[in-house]
Amino acid sequence: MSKLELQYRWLMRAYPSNHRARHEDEIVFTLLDVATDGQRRPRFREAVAIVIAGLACRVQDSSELNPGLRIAGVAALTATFAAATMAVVLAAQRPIEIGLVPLIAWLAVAAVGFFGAWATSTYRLASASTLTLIMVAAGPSMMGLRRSILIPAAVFLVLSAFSRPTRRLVRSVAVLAGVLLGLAHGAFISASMNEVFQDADSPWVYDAQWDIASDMAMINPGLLFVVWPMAALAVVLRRQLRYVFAAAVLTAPFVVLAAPFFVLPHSTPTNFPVYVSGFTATLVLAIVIGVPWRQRHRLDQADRSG
Amino acid sequence: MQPDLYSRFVNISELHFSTLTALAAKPLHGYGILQEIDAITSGRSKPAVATLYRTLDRLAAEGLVEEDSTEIVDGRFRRTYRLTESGISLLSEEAAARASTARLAKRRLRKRASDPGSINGIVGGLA
Repeated sequence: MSKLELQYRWLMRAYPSNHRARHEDEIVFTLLDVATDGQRRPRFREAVAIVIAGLACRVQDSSELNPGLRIAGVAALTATFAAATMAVVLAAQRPIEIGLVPLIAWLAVAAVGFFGAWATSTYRLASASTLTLIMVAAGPSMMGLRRSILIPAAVFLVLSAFSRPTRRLVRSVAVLAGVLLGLAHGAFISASMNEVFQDADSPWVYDAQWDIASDMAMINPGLLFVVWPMAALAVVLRRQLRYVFAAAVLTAPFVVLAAPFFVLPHSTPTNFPVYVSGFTATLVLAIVIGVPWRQRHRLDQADRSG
Repeated sequence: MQPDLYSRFVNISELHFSTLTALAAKPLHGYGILQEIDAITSGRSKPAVATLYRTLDRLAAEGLVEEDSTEIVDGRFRRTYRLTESGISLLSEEAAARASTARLAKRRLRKRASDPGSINGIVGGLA
């Protein structure tokens, strides 16, 4: 196999796997037919066309998702990009903080997960990066989670991103991963707050004297980031596995919508972002659950009347 | 010809039209279609390979082309495509519509050239 053919086959990875299985050989051999004598690298124009056509195929494949998930995917993407924009603006005002890395990872999940085929690996990498960075940022112990639990979980998720045999095992512990992720997200937010609000008198520092308002402020994100991912997983696990990754898309904005507010320097702690992200979560999940059910209800009615 | 089929393709793109035209005479594989398009358009249109296959996908999804055969030539896999009945109907309708538009355009250009009130008419008269 020539180097040129190898490079074309590498570019063909832009296409979804089912399309590659059927068309890769004929497209690659046509590309080789068109290639000039002595050509060593893919032409720029051909390479761009392959990537665009491949991504277009993936978008087309995602249209097979049910309408609720499509709408939710668009909503999640919109919210995620809005939050990412906000994070970039904040990052321009102060040194880049560690929270941007999981934010970018989850942004990638939201963007790639919507297109289907690469969602599995992206989701695992995002999970792994989130867990790892929480450990780095938050120290040896936080919210009852110890490194002895988080490190194996992170290693496992990193391995599963690259190793085929572990995928089945990953499937079996998807719920556990969801719970860990939920706790981790809550912990990440808490860790960010702890880092930013260093004033010893502030109720936002862990060791400070807490009042009911700060307790609620801590509990709300915890509940949000545990309960909603679990609810989303519970919904999707009854269906196909790919919907788990749609759930990852849905949960991403919950984190990124709230995080930039919490890491604002010199700002007053507020529950507002929690309410905003809670409202968004409720709205998106209502769409996800409601639209397919409504559609199924209509189909059932049509069957009965037919 | 189903009217709804034509109405869906009433804004048929040049590449769709060229691809259907390339397949009008006989079934061809991808490289053959590219060569035919090059000949039909006198080299004006040189679609990228991936773009051509995306077009073939769309035409196949609309039932206008279909797979004819597969073979291996010089160790290279080839899939040939042919027009379906719907594809033949659409191509003949589109060709007729384009020919009609082309005739009209020529007629208007001739009229414009011969009209003494127009710039071209004046220039033509002076010449």
